Amino acid sequence: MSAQALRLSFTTAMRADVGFSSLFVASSLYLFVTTAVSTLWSVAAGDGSIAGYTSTMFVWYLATSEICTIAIPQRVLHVVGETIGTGEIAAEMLRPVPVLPFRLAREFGKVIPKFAALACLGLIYATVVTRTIPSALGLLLAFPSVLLALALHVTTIHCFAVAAFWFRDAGTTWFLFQKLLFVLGGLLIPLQVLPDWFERVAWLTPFPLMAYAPARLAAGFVEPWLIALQLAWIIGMYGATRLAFRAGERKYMRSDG
Amino acid sequence: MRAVQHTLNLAWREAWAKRTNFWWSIAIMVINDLVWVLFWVIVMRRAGDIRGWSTQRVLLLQAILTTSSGVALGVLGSSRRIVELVSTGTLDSILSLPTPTLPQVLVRRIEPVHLGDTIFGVGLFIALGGLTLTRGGLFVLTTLCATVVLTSFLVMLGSITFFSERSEISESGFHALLLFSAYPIDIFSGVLKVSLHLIVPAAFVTGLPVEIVSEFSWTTLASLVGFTFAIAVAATAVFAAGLRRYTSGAGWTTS
Repeated sequence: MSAQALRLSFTTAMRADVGFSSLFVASSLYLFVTTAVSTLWSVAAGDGSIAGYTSTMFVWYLATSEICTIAIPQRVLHVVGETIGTGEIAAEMLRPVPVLPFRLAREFGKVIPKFAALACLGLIYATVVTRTIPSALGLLLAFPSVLLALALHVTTIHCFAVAAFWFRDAGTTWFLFQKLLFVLGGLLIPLQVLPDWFERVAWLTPFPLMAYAPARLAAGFVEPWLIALQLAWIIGMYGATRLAFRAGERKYMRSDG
Repeated sequence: MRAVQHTLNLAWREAWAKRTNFWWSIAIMVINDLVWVLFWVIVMRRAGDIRGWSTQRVLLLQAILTTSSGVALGVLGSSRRIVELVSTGTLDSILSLPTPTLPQVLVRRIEPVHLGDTIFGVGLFIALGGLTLTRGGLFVLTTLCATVVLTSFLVMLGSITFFSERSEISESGFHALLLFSAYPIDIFSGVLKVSLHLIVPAAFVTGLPVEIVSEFSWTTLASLVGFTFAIAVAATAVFAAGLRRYTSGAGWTTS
């Protein structure tokens, strides 16, 4: 019953988000950002390299890291927080399915169509611009790694949104999340380019596994341990979010129920 | 014009009424802009000068962009909402007013979060040093031009809704202009660079203004002012042409 409900939630959300409008906006945004940032790094690297990345590697890195953020619906953390803060979550708590897995399945379902569109676009863009693939094996590993990055992203968003059970407004946490992903996640700057102490701090958080890990693989660095680390963080993050959700639900039922 | 000024006053009072939210939004945007400055400092430290762009010049670009986009999206921010105003029929209530429609549309709402951009941009410009009366004057003049270019482009994009039901291009055009304006124009080449002058006018939002403030020339200034004037006239004309085709999108008239 529960597995069937989750599958239904996933597929319904996936079908609902396949619309020309949302795919067009996401694809064009993806192309603009990737073109601008990869051109910048390519020009900066020139014929040499920066922190071990050549201009070709930068293009593949950024074409992949951008998928990991643009495939996630904008302001999703804000929306999840609002659902909790305004009490809409109460209706979801009445369902015969645990709230968290149900929500995760739905949000992940929304991500899949954009992931598919952007992955195709990214492949075409990076191939046309660089006319080469840094490493076929790296690229092969990058595909599951992007999916794991998206799963970790969605789970971590829910972990941040749990704050709304206590503060009623997750707007601030959404902003904080975006900045952390930008700075610590290696979204526009590979971690090796950052100062050493900064890179060490980043590895204490899950953010590098939401953008840097798949991007690094696509850039030609065959480091399968990144995928293992992603899996470990997903399990850990899911456990932590589930505990936090349960605590939040109990608090909600005591004060509002 | 008094009616437009009155609307602007009301919009300001509405934003100012929620004092905590006002300052909090500004603080959030300032932190956001600081992160971007950090990004550029890291890039420039690693790469050195990029095609003639030093750290100082790139930060000047950020100062001009944040100041102008802050005014365009914070004070004249409804230019981004034309699609919504047309498709929901909210425009009807503005049309019934005895004032020019476009200015009335533009000043309907003040977005404090973008005022944070303006405050940050001015602060960054001052922090960059070398402030003289001439340099300050050129900064104000070029920022004003950039604001008009940004707003006019958004009005033209929004006006597409009058002619076509597809509004996605409006959102994409907005992203393209802001994104490409944030990067030194000289890193781009070929068709893309030409497009950034002719199709998405990013060169006129930051490229030319930075050139004017750092290495003033009358020719560049004349190009910027001329283009600003031309795009403002074009935006007004496109919006007016769109209005002539407008039929209310309000639910009770379309059902």
